[in-house]
Amino acid sequence: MSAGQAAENPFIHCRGVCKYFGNFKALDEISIDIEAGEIVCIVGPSGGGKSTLLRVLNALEPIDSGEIQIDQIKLPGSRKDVEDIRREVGMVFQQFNLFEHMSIRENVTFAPRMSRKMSTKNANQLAEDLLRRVGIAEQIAKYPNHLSGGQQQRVAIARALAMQPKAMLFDEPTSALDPEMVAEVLDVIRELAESGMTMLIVTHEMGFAKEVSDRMLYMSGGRIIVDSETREFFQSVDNSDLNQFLSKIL
Amino acid sequence: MRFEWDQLIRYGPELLQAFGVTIVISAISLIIGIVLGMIACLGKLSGQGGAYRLSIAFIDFFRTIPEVVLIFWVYSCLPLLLSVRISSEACGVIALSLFSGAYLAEIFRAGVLAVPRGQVDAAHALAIPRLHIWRKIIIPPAIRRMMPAFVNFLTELLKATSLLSAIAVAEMAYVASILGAKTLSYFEFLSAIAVLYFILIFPFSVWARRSEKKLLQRTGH
Repeated sequence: MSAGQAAENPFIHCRGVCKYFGNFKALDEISIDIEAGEIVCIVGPSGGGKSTLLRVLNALEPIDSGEIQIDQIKLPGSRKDVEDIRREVGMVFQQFNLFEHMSIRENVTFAPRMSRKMSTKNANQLAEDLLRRVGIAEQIAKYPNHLSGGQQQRVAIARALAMQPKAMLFDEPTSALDPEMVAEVLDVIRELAESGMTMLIVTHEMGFAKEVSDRMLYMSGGRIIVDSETREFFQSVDNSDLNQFLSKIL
Repeated sequence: MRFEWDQLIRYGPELLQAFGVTIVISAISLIIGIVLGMIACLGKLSGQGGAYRLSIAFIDFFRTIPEVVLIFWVYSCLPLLLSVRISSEACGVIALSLFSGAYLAEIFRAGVLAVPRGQVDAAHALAIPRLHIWRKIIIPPAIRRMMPAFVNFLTELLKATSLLSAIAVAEMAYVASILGAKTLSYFEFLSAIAVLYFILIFPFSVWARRSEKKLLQRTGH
């Protein structure tokens, strides 16, 4: 039995989720429950469905069959349901995806003002607090292209946190970064992990995954091949596919 | 041969009026074209359904037929079809609006598609309502990206107004040829309008080049 499956009301609940891109089956009958406060790292070969799983959880991709429930809200659902889920679940992308034509302050305040109807004054205060938390308060008036990759990714994290989400999805948050910038981003994520945030992290940073996660998923071919507690995952899971993957990456 | 300045001076007011007609017709056609272009662009971006098919048909049709044929068709056939009288100026505006709408739809679409998809994803992920995504995330960078092509199109539109001489719209090319015939000073009048077209259009082509350079600097590719 995998961690958390016995609980009655998991924060994230997927049953038989399938997603096709044309004829390609990107997600093949994914069923998983994730508890509030749980930190789950997802690893596996590229094209294995890791990013797609995060994207369907945030309704960025519609699912073809199955059911998703996040904090009691169901997908597929109405536009309002979709927006409600997105308000609960923040997302950080591999390529940062900051709004290039907006300053750092505007990047962070935009969503709370537009989506949570927060006043500009409160949103600005929130942005300052969050940017201080991710260690780049002094860059607030600059534009994204004046920042390093690591700084941009930290802004992207602050931007997602500005919605005060209950969970965060990280899609390879350090894969597009120069090696010397990886640590500063991982530090921010680690700090979030300690604050008790529910998180799903797709990553290739095995050391980091081992350190922060409660639970590991190994995905390949659109399926969850291994789902186990982190310690067990690295020590005693006997799966030839996974062992081969780990031996390549570790 | 002597360049007859006095003819030019004598008919100067008429030429200037024609210059004004060229500008007014371009401006009205551009405004209607922008509206048509936006509708067709959204229709094509919708990717399916009736609006999509209609938009594709509109864009493909009016981008393919020669402008002169379109102008003649609107002038000669449209009044018969609708059994109303339409002034030649109105015909000119209709034809150039359709032409503009079809071209601008593609220019707008290219601008929208050039906005990095990831930024739109990020906005969706932040639960930002669709209208705000368009207003704040897609349109501002799209406008910046489409500017060179848009201004370039403007120069094409200004030039295309000269085709309206074929249906006797009193714009520059028509007035110059009439005055030429009347005074037999073709050389003077045709040279004069060549210069006037240059004065009118050259700033736009400089603007197009500048905006392209600026865009290259900003986006780096």
